[in-house]
Amino acid sequence: MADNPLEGKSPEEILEYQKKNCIFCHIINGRVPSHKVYEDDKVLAILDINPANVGHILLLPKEHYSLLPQIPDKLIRYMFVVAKYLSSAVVSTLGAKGVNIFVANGVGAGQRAPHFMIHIIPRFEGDNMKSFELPGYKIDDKILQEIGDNLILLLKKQFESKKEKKPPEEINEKQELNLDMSKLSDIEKKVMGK
Amino acid sequence: MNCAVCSFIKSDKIKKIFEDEEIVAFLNPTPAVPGEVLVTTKKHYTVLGQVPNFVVGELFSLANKVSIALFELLNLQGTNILVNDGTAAGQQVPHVLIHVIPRKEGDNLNFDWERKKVSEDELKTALLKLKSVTDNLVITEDDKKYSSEAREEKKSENKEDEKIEEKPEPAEPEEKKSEEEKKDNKGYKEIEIKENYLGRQLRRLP
Repeated sequence: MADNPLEGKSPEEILEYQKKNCIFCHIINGRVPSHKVYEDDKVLAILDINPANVGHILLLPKEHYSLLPQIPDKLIRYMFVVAKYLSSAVVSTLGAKGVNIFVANGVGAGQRAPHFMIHIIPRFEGDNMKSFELPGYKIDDKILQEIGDNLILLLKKQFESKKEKKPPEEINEKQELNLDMSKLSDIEKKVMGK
Repeated sequence: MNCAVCSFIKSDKIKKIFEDEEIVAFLNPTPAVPGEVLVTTKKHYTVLGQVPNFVVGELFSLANKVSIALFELLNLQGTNILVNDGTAAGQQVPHVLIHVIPRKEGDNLNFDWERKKVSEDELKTALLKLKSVTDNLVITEDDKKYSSEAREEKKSENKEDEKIEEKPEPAEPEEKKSEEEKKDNKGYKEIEIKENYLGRQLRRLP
């Protein structure tokens, strides 16, 4: 790339650009062929063609999201329930003895494509994969306490009610663009109906 | 039962950062990197396949919130969410654990794997086997049981009681309302994240 096409663009513009150039969006639209393991209105699961082990599944949201925190809470819950069933299927049909469920959230975490995905990787005895072996370091208890206390505060913020702060109207409109429209109208219908 | 995780989460030996009836999150006392959080069920389940759907939802919803909190606190370049399900997958204790792992440049972690070249036949065979199960899969969303968020909303509604006189609502519409609120909530959260690091993260993606 001679020029970085994303230079100076807003997050919304970057998203739009990435969507158009996203191979996984093309797979979801059917413009690029794939081995579909499971599909419904919200998600698509395909086989990785360069897998860690045969049967390696990529579970994708149909809507384009790059990172985990962009995804609506309800869809996060749903995707991992699907991941649970897929990992059971991998064990029962491929004879896997274990499964790694893996998300790389951000380039610094090993994310390679701009479309969020959950990896479901079948594991076999003696498959010699060392990727997910976790080292366990001893940590100073003071550091642990300090990180913990700060995390508690930041987590509370995540659970806070929106009543305490209201986002400005204008940004609200932009947000709507990111919502799954089918779900939105569903909720609206329910609310309007009452 | 003699499960290390079960006795750990009942003790005060660990630093808990979240807890409700079903799930708990705590700092791994022997982490891969400082700040690694383990999210788990209070009830003893060995593997994810045994965990009821709504609890699976709770677990990963919390994992996402923990991941956001870690981003803010440690100024990260990424997070990994990892479940090692089964000893062949590297599971070390017989209690389902979700690892939320903070990532920074130079942290000496690398979860990358060797990409195997496989034939079209191998892929097709695996696909056929998997589809014998997945073609019959019906996954229903369990809306009613989004317990912790619903509880949190109730709590905050109670706080507001003094200020705002709200019409008492029958049970059902309230549930819909809480769904609405959840949506709005999320909208707001996203704006916050964007300001903090989302733009930076998005720019780095290919």
